[in-house]
Amino acid sequence: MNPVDPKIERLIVRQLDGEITEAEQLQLNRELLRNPGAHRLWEEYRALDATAGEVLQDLLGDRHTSFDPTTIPAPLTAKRPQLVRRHWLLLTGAVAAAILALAIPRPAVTTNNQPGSFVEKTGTQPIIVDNVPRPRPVNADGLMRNVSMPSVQRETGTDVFGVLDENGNVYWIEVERTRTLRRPAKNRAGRASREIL
Amino acid sequence: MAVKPAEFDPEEPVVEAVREGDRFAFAELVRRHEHWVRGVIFGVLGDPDRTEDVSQQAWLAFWQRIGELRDVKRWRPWLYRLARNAALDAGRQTSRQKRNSMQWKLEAMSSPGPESAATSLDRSERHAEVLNAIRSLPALYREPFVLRHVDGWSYRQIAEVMDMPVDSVETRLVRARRLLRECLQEKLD
Repeated sequence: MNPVDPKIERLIVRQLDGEITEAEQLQLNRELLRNPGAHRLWEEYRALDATAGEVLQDLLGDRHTSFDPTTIPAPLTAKRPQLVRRHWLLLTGAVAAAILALAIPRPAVTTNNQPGSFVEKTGTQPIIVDNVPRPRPVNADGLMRNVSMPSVQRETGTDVFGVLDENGNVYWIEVERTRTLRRPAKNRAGRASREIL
Repeated sequence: MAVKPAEFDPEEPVVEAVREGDRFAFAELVRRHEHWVRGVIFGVLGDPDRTEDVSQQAWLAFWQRIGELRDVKRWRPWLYRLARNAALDAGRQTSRQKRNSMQWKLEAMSSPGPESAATSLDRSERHAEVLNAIRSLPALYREPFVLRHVDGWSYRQIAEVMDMPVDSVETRLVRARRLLRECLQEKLD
């Protein structure tokens, strides 16, 4: 039988565990002064705690482990395996994207191989690429007349894709692209064509 | 509601180093925390003989599975669970081959030290009684009681690793003492 109020018993335990507040300590002190049962319980718990502390320290606290942690083998599993898998997934995805970019025909693309910029679509108007040789204008107003255009024109260029991974690294993928343009038959016949240079 | 971990834990860099495979950091972590890990295992098993072996298993599991630890701030509850699971596994094996391991402890305790023989015997007997009483506690109460006494943990720290409210820890500690007192009084009577 425990005649002491459970609330007081709780205060005693809180005091022994160092968790008691000042107000609770005052309340406990008053109770210990006027209640011999509470005082006896406090003394018993205090002695019990002291002995239990010694016993457990003897049993568990003063020993050191007998194995040397520096000699154990490294874990078999790689650290952070998911992160590694994600990298592979990212690279695989980037390669797949590059293959797709080669396989899917595009209407017209400006050439831009500067890192930090993205591929820019310009609609369906064909654009003559800078590195393709062009005929010179004959007149000063920029109009060309009776210029013999090559019947087959080739556009070459490089598409640059930027792929951002989760760590903020940017992987640049360059795709070489060549496009062959055939002039319509009426142009090939030597009619004047107008081109703004 | 379970307790959240403290804002800054000085052990976090050590645990990070262990995660990177630093064996010396691991050795340091073991040295600093082996007491309470053994306390957890003793709290579950109540068998001091097996504490050392199971403790090694728990630390080995910590080393091998550190890659699975997602939040370094929660390394203590994670280690607690590893230790507890290792103890539970060992407990299942032990229950099959029940043995009484207290004899060595009683013999060791009754060997006289520098104190007078009578005092030493009294003290040893008292220790043996209290140890038996602690071992007879249900694991539910023994675990927080051991953690409180081995490393002097606060209610909050115990609540954090055991993933339970602070009030529950307090209740268990009150009941642990009540049961210990009743157990020891029965022996005296």
